[in-house]
Formats: sequence, structure tokens, C-alpha cells
Amino acid sequence: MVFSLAYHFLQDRALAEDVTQEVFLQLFREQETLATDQHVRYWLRKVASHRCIDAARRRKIRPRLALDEIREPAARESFHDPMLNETLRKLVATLPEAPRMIMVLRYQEDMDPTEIADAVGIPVATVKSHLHRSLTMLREKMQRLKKEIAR
Amino acid sequence: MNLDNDADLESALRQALSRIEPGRDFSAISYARPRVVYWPPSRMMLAIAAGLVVLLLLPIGMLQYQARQRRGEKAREQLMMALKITERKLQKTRQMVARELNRRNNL
Repeated sequence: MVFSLAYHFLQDRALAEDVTQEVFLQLFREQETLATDQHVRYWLRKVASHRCIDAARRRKIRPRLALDEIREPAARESFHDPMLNETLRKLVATLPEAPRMIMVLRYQEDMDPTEIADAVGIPVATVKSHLHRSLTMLREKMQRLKKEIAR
Repeated sequence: MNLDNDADLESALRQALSRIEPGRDFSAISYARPRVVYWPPSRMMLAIAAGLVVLLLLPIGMLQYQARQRRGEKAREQLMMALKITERKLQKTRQMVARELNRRNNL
């Protein structure tokens, strides 16, 4: 969960591994304060989110991919289309930090906006608005890609 | 798949962002690295703490030693003075005894 969250957010395996290790190291130090499995899961998601955002800020680069750099998805997309998956992952990676983390928590961890708001530390309304705007942006970019393919 | 539809886009996102596992070696490295990462700072902290304690105790010890030495010297001076006074008093007493004996012998 932690590695996956970090990897989807940072799009960098080595950095994601470092973040994962930092998170589990912190868990090791604070394990006595965490009573239940649920609490551990909640804690892991929260700490991982914050660590990922910190790591992204330290790295100071946000992937700003041009549409040309993203491989075109297959004309007929299937549900498990790896090309489509990669395209979506790269498009998600172009989002700013907060909306990107929100998307990862929503679609990887299947967390609802209230849980995400709690984990990231922002209001629920902001989470919902980020989700809505991110989905709209992704849809628009996918449509533009489709049009480029059709030409 | 038509991604214009919200549900389809969300399904595709769930698929794209599904959980992935770290590399095979990662667990082994993770189990090994915390010891390396965790203990050196701890040892270093202990060394720094020990150094600080020594730095704090050293001047205190020196001051205590100097104070004790000063007290010792003062006590020695006082003792020497007391011995001198006693010596003088003994000399006077001896002289008085000698004078008294001479006077008796002359009689």
C-alpha cells in the first residue's frame, strides 16, 4: 500500500522506496502508540501522504508532460489496457501535489473524500473540488489525445 | 471503453492506479537498512552526550580540585603557625625551668 501510493504519486521507483522505508521506520519508532490494525492503516496512509508530498517538494520537480510525450492509447481500449493505464498514470502524474495525492488515495486506496480530507489535512469540500477538477482535466486530455489519434 | 462516462473513467483510474508491489529486494533491504540507519545516529548521540558530560564535568572537577588544594594549603599554614607558637612557648618554659634550677643550685 505505502510503496504503491508513493510510486503512483512520485512516479519514481527509487524515491518511492525511500519514502516507503522512511514511513516504516517511523512506524517502527511509533508502533507503541498505535493500538489496532485499523489505526496502523490509517496512520500509514496519513504519514505516507505527507511524506510523499514532502518528497515531491524536496525533489522540486513536478512531471509536466506534454501530450506528445505520452504514448497514444490504443484506438479500441479494453478494460485492462496497459497502454491506457500508463497514459492515465502519466496524466495523473502531471497534476499538482494535492490533487495528485487525492487521486491516488481515491483510486488506489478507495478512500472516500472524508477519509482523504482527514489523511491529507484539508477540508472535504476542497477534496471534492480537486477530484471533480482532476477528473474533468483527465477527461479533456484523453479527448484531445483521441482527436490527435483520429487525425 | 468510452472515458467520457464518469464511471468508466473512474474504473480505468482504479485499474491504472491499482496497488503495485515494490521490487523483490526491497523487503530484504528494508529489513537490513533500518539497523544501519537507526543505530549510527543513536551511537553518535550517545558519544555526543558522553562528550558533553565530560566537557561539563571536567571544569567542575578542576574547580573542586583547586578549591580542595587551597583549603589544604591554608590548613598547612595554620598548622605550621600553631607549631611555631607551641615551640616558642616550650622554649620559654624550658628557659624558666633552667633559670629556676640555676637559682636553686646557687643557693
